[in-house]
Amino acid sequence: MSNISLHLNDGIELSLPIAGPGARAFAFLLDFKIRIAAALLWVGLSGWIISKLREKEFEKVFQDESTTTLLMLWLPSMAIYFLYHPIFEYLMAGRTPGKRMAGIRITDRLGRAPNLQQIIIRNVLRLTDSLPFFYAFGLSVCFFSRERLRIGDMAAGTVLVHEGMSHKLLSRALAARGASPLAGADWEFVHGLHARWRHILPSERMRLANNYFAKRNPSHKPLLDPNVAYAQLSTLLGVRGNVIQKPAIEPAGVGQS
Amino acid sequence: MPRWQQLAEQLKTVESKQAIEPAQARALIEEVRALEHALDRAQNTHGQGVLFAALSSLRLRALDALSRPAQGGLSGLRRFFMLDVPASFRYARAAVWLAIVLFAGFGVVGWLLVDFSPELAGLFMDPRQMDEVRDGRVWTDEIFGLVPGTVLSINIMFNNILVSLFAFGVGVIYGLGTLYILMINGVMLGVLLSFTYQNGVGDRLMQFIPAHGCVELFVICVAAGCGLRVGHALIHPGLLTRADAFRNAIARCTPTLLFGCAGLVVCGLIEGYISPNPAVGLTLRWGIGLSWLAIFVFFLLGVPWRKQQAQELARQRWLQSTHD
Repeated sequence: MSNISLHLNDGIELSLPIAGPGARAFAFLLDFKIRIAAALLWVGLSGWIISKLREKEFEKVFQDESTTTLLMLWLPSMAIYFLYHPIFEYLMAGRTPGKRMAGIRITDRLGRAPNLQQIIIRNVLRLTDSLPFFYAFGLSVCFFSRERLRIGDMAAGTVLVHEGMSHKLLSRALAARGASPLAGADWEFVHGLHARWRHILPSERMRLANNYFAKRNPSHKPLLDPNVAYAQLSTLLGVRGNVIQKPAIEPAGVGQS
Repeated sequence: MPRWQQLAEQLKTVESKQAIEPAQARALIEEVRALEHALDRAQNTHGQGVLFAALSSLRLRALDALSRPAQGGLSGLRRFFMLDVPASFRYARAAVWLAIVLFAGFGVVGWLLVDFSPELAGLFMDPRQMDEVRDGRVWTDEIFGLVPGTVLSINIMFNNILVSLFAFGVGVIYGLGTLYILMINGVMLGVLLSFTYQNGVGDRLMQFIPAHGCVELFVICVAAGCGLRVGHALIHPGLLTRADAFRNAIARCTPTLLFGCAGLVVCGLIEGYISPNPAVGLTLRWGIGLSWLAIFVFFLLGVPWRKQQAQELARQRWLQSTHD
């Protein structure tokens, strides 16, 4: 994964991991599903309401070409579909629900959330990026550009970066750090081990935990039960057995503790 | 409460507001400075772990809140119409004139093509539509009363806005895409007019067009002009890098494009309610079309706000002189 250096306006350089075509496509597909579902939900609900109000059959509402049907049924659903990206990107400071789920966000070259003009530009140029079909042009530009940008991002001066942990998770991690008697590198190590517990091979995680306990207390007897080791790590972190950073997908072949 | 938590609380309040009070901004700057020390210590003692990531994230949020321009609301909208749109149009003006000339030129080519060989109209027209014209009917005759005005307006609005955005967007292919859109639309208009006049129904088509067409065609040319300007910036970036020239051209053309799209909304309403209405006479149609064009160009050039533009120019010059 390559990084982009953002030059913050106080002269400090910040390096953020660039979201490539895979992350983009994943976020787009999630957003696509959401906006299709929202638009269909609107059509269904308002169609049902119109059918009740006019005492018509539900199916016949959709054959009606009157102004009311257009204004109540089709216009809002089209607005949901076409304005989904710009509205969410503006309200959620460079994110959409799909981008948030994919762990990516849009920033400008100073690491800030994009402004309204940048959001409009990158969404207007979606038309160009989507040419000739299925975003082929945008994706090919994205594959070959150094910073993995589509035309819309190049024009708006924005980049798509991986957010890493969300603000909430980071705040929770910091709060957990405050509750822990551990300090400095000890906390970082125990927190890392605790968070990745389910991803590490059972023998390896027990070795790491026992080594750490032995370092803290040379008379410590090696633990054999992974649940006990995990509980002790939790106590050290000041949490009740919860994994602070939710692990993503369980890798194949790794057993549960 | 640790200091970073205080900052997180402050940020929650600040991020929900449209603008920060000076006292809040000063307090935030103090907290960011303290955070930078903490960040340094965190990096030196624990490396770039979770603590560092969390503090960096807080710092980014704080800087974002501090450097974010105040949300203008109404004043932002006023600035957009008074300063941004006229400045943007001045930037793209030459390219817009070029687009108008090219569009008219392609229209003449379309006319001559059909004049030379009427069968060539089949390249641009639907065979059913051609048969209707040969039978002395125009497709616009039947619109009124058949389709509700709202449905027609919204369809037309949507289509025109899409064509305009497209004409602008494909300017990224060094202006070639925009040239193609201009050519297709210009030739098609020329072919339609020529074919309908050859079959004696041209006057009826010309009766339909003027009320909405003056601004509609102008906006398409404006959007295409912006697309050509973007293409020009890519071909001749000047002292800037090509990427910067591209970004700059797009940003400067966008206000004109958005203003044009707003104009197309009015055109859609005219085309849905006035143009198909047989009760509206030709003189009135031309009156509506030309008046709307005059108003549109008047605001596009920012004529009512010359004073504010001069003030803004003086302010920018003053800022430049203090910067130098």
